[in-house]
Amino acid sequence: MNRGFRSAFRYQVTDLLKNATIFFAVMVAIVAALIIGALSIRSSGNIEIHSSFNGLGLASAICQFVFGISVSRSNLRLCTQLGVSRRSAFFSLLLSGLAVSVILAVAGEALIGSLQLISFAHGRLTLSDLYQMIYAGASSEALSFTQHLNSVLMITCLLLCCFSFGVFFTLLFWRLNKALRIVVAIAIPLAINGVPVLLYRLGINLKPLFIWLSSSVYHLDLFFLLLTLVFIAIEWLLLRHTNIKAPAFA
Amino acid sequence: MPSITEFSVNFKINPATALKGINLLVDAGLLYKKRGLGMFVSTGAREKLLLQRRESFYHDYVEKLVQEASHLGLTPDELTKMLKRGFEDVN
Amino acid sequence: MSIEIKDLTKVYGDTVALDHVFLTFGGDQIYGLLGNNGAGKTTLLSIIADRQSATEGTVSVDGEPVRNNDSALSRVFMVGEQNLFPDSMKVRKGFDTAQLFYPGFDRAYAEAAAQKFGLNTKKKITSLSTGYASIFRLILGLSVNTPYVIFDEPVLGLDAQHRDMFYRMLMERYGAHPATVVLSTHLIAEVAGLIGHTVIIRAGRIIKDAPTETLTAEAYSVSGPAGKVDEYLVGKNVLSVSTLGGLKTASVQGQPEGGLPDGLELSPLNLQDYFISLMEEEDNQ
Repeated sequence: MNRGFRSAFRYQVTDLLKNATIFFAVMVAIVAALIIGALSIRSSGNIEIHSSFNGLGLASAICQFVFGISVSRSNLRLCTQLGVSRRSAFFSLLLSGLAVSVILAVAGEALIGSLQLISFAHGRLTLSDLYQMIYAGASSEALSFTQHLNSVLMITCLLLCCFSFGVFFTLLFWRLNKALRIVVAIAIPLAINGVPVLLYRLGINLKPLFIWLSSSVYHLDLFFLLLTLVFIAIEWLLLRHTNIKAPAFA
Repeated sequence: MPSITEFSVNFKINPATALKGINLLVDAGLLYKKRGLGMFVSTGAREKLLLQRRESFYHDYVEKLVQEASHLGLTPDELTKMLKRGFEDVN
Repeated sequence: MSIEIKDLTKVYGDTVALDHVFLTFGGDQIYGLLGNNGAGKTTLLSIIADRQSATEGTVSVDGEPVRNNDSALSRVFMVGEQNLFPDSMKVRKGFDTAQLFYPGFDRAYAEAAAQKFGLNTKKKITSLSTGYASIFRLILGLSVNTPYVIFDEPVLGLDAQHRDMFYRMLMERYGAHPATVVLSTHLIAEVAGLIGHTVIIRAGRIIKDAPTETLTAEAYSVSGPAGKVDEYLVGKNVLSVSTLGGLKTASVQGQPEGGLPDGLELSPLNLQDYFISLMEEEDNQ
């Protein structure tokens, strides 16, 4: 790891962490509000008031996707101005995305895991997250330490995948000329709607895939990692010969 | 003497050009280098320069003056009168 | 220790932006890269800084090819015409970041230069005027202390006073910290004295690559009555001619042997006039 790569990584990870911290603080505030709400509302009579929160993982995933879109170009441009090669700029971008994915996954797990212990005692608020919902049978029990580790791993893979997906989107649009951009922009909603129909018509059944994915969290991890690698490969092909210029309307 | 850099900053010229100029003066014996201390003006440099300039005065100024005066149709007498007037005005 | 450009070619569809360019920049000299708009100056410099890729040919810094090479690229700093800093970044943070990436960055010098130019370091880089955006970038170029610094149209938008300040600061800095400098500009008259070596590019090809002194010694200007000038020009390599009433002025390649016939005036060609004459000659071919 040479000096240029290290500087690029330091800059990008610091910048990304700043934004991730803001996101996480907002999440903490939301969860805190929920807890306070759940604990202070008294149930009257036989009506049990129950609330649940299990969206932290999903929210983090969307957040990383947005980060991927928003920081890629400006980071690559900055690195170019400051004498870092395209390759180092690109890989330090991905590495910073990975670092923040790990940190968000661990922080999220710590937050939900510790609050779970409190909330289960009260029974009026259920806190859980993706891993628990998919693989631990959404039970009302707290997770074991191993399960926590698996959850962190799963969320990390998910977040990394979403980050690279964001990078993929932004690099794709960077490279494409105006005409192709419009084509892609139309093709996306078409694909979202059309692909399932197409698969049905072609008789391709994705059920075995879903069964395989839900049978073990490691399968899901592998799936996200493979997807990430595919994105990275395409991103590098796109980036290799791009002319790095300032934005058109600065 | 100011340093090469000072010359290049003041006249906005490449230091190599400034250096060439300085070296020409050194070769002409008007400046000398003292190692570690810089460039200094040689004794008698002023006198040398005056002599040189006097010799080229004819070519640089007088020839051109006479040419221009001829263009304007001035006689040698008229020109001499103007030169005398010039000396009076300056002093 | 030099930047070697070998057989560099860049083709966009039908356009040949660079046509088998061979150049060397080194020896801690100040190079001027002169050419008209669209001649290929920025393309050439962008490829050296690995902002664009070449179609053919190689660029090496101190023997190492630049493509994807951090160690080679860290030795070249390019002050370009565009801002590549993020939207929300302030000038001060820009200096901080430059310091992070370039260990040799002279922060004190940068701050002093900013003050001299009247650059407000608390402002966002993208909110600076064209002139001040250029000033920010050229301050980076002066502070960064890399062995090679490239200035591509560094004085865009700068008023006369600031341009003057830049040239002086460049000379001062260059005197104290020699480096190989490449200065690409339209303002030939302003930089003629600064550049020790001149490279002239036209339609992607290098047409002159020589010490500045050699080029200006290579040509001269003759003027006088049209008839006499025409007589004199017979058999000479004429670069350009202009006529005003009965008076003709011509730029001639070479040096006058012997004196000039009576009635004709001889004057040296400064670099800008030489460049213009050269372009005219090329246009006529």
